[in-house]
Amino acid sequence: MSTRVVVTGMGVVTSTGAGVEELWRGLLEPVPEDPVTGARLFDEYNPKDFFPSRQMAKRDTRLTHFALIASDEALSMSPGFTAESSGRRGVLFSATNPEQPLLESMIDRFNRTGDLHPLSTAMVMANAAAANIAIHHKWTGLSSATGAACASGNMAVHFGQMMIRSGRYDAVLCGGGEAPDTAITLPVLQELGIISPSGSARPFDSRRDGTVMSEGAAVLLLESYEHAIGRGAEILAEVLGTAATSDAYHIVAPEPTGSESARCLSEALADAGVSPHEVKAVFAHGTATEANDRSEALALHAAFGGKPSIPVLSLKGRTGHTWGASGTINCIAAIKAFQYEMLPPTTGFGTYDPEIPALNVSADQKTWEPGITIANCSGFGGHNACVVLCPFPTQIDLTPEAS
Amino acid sequence: MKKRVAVTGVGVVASCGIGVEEFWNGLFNESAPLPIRRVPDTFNPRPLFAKKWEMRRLDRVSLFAVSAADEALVMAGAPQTPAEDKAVVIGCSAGGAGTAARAYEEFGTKPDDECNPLLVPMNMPNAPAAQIGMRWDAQGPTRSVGTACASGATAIGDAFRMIRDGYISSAVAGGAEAGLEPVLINGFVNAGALTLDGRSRPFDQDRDGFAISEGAGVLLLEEWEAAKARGANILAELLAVAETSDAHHITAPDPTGRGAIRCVEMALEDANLAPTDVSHVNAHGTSTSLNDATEAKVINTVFGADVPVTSIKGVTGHALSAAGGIEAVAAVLTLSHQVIPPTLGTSSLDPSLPSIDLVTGTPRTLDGGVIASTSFAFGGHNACVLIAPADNGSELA
Repeated sequence: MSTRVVVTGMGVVTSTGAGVEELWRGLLEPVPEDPVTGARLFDEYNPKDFFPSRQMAKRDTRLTHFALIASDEALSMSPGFTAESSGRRGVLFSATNPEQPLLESMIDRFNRTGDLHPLSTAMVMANAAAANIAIHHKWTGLSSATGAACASGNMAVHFGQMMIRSGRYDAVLCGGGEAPDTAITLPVLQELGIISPSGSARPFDSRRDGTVMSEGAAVLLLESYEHAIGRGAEILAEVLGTAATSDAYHIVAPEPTGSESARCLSEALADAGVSPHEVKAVFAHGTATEANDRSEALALHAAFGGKPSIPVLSLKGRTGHTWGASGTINCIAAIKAFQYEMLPPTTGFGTYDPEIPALNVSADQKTWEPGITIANCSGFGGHNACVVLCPFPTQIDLTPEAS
Repeated sequence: MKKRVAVTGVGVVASCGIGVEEFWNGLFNESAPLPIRRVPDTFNPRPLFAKKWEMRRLDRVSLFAVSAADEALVMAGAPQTPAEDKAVVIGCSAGGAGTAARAYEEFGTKPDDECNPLLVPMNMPNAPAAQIGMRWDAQGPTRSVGTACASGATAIGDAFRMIRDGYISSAVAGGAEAGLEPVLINGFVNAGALTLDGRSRPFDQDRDGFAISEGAGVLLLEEWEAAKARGANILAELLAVAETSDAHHITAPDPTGRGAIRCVEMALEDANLAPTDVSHVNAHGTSTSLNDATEAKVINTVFGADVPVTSIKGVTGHALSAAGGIEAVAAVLTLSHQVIPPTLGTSSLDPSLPSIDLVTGTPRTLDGGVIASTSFAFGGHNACVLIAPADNGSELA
């Protein structure tokens, strides 16, 4: 039987604030009164609140800041790592367009002065956030930006689970983020036709007209079960299984029948050793674009052999689309739902789209008996990544005889 | 049961040559002293696309990647692997920097509705992997990995483990980069990393930085038994890949070389090899003062002073995320030709470095054995790839 992988920490930054409790509080709140016009950001963010060192507050980018805040929170939930065996700990953190804001400000400064900060090229690379997390915590195993666009967050969880199962790693910080508030990003996405003109993301709704661009970072601390028990860490949840597949179809559009997204769901369940009827909820990607929600509904039908009887929800009506962070935010929200025995609402949802296969969209917050939960995500490029989580102590029989 | 991993195809786009043959020949010719070494204008991806507009949806970095992947797949005889058993992992750290810079520079000069709507999907670092995946119908995992100048090697490691551990049966893996934008080049100049006189001189006493470059280098990896069963021409065996992080500084390597030494030792341990089994090191050798000093210490500590070392960056320049891929291709070709290309650009080995046997001037015959290809990056990412001849007689435990 392969190594069991558990979650022993988590951290998050979204437009509703920094910290998993802030995320949960935000998810239960109604969406702000005035619909935003295409972007929902962490407006109150002030680096000085988090980084007392002026150099760090000024030098590092918004994405790296968010990544450091989220990973600090994850590790503060699970203190006690020492310098010993730091090589058995890794960091995976990526984004869709990692350092676009820095690139734009570098171009401005270069055009103005012909000169740049000596560290700027290192900081504009895709790996900067992952490297900074590793440097900050002195974790000396693999640190890498595992890029899969908006599926990056769950791709990192999939990859991290693989690393721990290989026996080479005790713990991996896995996640993703995005800081896409640049001069150019929102206009190009509007031109691409995926941004909601009404400023409201309405997942699976018949009135849905696109997503709302947002920002944030989210990190899970994955650990081998033996290592977590050995050091007396509190186990928040178990990662039962993961999978990653590719549409190999189009650089933007999802494959319209959802076939590879369906296979991703099925492979993740098979990896978890559970059947669809054991699943108690789906935290969907649900971006509120026409194409995503249709293909995701089709994929869920294919993977569940018909309409899933369980609640399906999307957080994007509240959080907006946080791109690289979004898959990991689904994982974190699912784990909070385990703790509070409650499902958050699908903000923005009103009337199910009759043109797409039916789902039981969980519109309002409701009490819930925690159980096996799917966190789903997909990204530009046709990347799909799915994580199957379970409350801990695990309720299902995982002894070798049972499987 | 761990699977063995075969290399059955290689593909490359580099400043010294496009395609495997031109690239290999290029490694034996001194490059002109250029601080910026672009892929020659003879690079023409147009025949790879039925329609011109299809090609325009790819940034230069993805064009390099799909061109190299096509070459590797043709060389391998287009293996008929089920789509879901195929993966693509391409190291890329600067993404579609050219597309992003053009889009930003044009922004504000035209109406918003004339901006490039494909900026995000052309610029994202996973685009090269996704584009290869779409052409090759790879429906297994496709992703980028970003570890700056170690990305190509890290990507090969990711794909290697997916095959070894039975997740998939074949993969295109390597690195791609097209970051020769003035703004990025200036950043390297200000970091003191770029050569002032355009001469890349790995391990030379007069080294003053690297020539910056671009390109792509990929391997086609296949599960060993599947490759044999289909009668593939196996070029080499991938024995191990290891990665570590210095966790020291965002640009400078840890001067003790600890993280890098541990990386090479982990790769050897993973392959169950002794240092003496390695007959040649294809070094990262960027020709910056710090990298080469640390790397000489690493090589000397792990392998001693007698293993022949070469760095092809004197010719190719430093192609950043592509470098690990391009150098893995060079290592496979070194095995096929049984010839170690010399470290061109270097005339006098820095006497202050720990002693290494740097191959300079003329090529040297390779004396069998395993090749270690090393990559050490900004951000403190280290990677080491071990490649053996196909007929290495290894029996997997």
